Amino acid sequence: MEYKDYYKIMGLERNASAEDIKRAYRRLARKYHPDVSKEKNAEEQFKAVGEAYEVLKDPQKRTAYDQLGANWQSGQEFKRPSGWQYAERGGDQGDAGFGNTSDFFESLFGGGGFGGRQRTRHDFSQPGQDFYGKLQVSLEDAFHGAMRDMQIPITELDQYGHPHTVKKSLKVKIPAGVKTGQQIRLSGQGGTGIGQGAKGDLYLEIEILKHPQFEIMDKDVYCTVPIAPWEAALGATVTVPTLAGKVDLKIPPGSQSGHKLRLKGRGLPGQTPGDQYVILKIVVPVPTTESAKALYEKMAKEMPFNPREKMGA
Amino acid sequence: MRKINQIIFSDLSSNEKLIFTLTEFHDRYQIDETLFLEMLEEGLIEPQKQEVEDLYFDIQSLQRLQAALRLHRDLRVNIPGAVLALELMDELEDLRKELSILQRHFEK
Repeated sequence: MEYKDYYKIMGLERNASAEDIKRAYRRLARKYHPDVSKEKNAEEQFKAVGEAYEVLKDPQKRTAYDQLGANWQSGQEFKRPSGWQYAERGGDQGDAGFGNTSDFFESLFGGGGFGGRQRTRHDFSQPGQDFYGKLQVSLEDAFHGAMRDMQIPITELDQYGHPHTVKKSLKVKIPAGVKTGQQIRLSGQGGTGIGQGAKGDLYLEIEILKHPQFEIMDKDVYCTVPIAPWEAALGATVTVPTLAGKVDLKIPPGSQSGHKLRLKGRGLPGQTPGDQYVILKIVVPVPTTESAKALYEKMAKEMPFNPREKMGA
Repeated sequence: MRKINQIIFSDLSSNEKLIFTLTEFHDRYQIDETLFLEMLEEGLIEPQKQEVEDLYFDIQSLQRLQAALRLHRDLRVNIPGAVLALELMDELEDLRKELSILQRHFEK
């Protein structure tokens, strides 16, 4: 197992005061909280910070941890020293909600008493745990809906109550019109209940992958479509991509770059389907021949036009 | 405070209705009734439908409730603060998307 440098995780010196530790923890908890953070691996970081704080805020655990010495490197192979003794002397049971602790933590301080992984109950039935996962889907699958085969690692208790991991195959239906952040609930696919307790559920949070052409805003689809100056000036019918295939779009004469045209009902499906917005982008061809240059010169001569008029120039 | 018998969430992926009583809610999602009502009054979630003493919510509301509770628990913000944080996160998310649309428009 790997050594964890709790001071480094929290960005602290080894002689940090209790106040420093608390302040660092609060700052990092805000930074990595999975509900607000856009940092990569926010959840893992949040757990790591929670675990580090669990040890460093508790003088008893901190003293024990410090006894390992300062020469360990983060990630270095670690084996608990022989003669290591640590016993919880009542009191602090830690903050709930960080989930599982690392093997490193458990080898030093034992499991439980932290993370709220088990709730003490006095009745004989308890519903199974709900499981949470993420599911990445392409925008096409989100638009059309899809079936997806998934293998989900699940920790189950064997007949002796020992946890072991099994892989479970599931067919997941991705409903058409799902959006990033929405959850699909798979009823009864969570942990096994105790006694008469029902099985838990599996929740899969959808993440729509970035598409090379389209952006999504709520139910609406956005895409930028390049057009020629004469198409903008004179109007034209151009073929544009939508998630359901190509469609013809009429560009009104006198269009400008940045104009937004709406294709009603061409967005993500739903009770009221979204729209697709096409943003025009006028692309100016570079004159490469003498006759092309002559055309531009003719335009300049025959079309008095000051694009900086509003700037007073 | 209003009396609620059942809190009902509808499933996104099917027409199946999920029915939660307050007790189930408490046991299953560890959502305290007082906190739940506070979040309801703050307007974090809106019932989709209301029938005498039952309130119906979509499953997205459950997600928001859980997120607000995690913020409340992990960052020690009170419920109005957690609701404010989530609303600001929504706004930030919209701005990020708008920025992304614009960036794409201006890239070569």
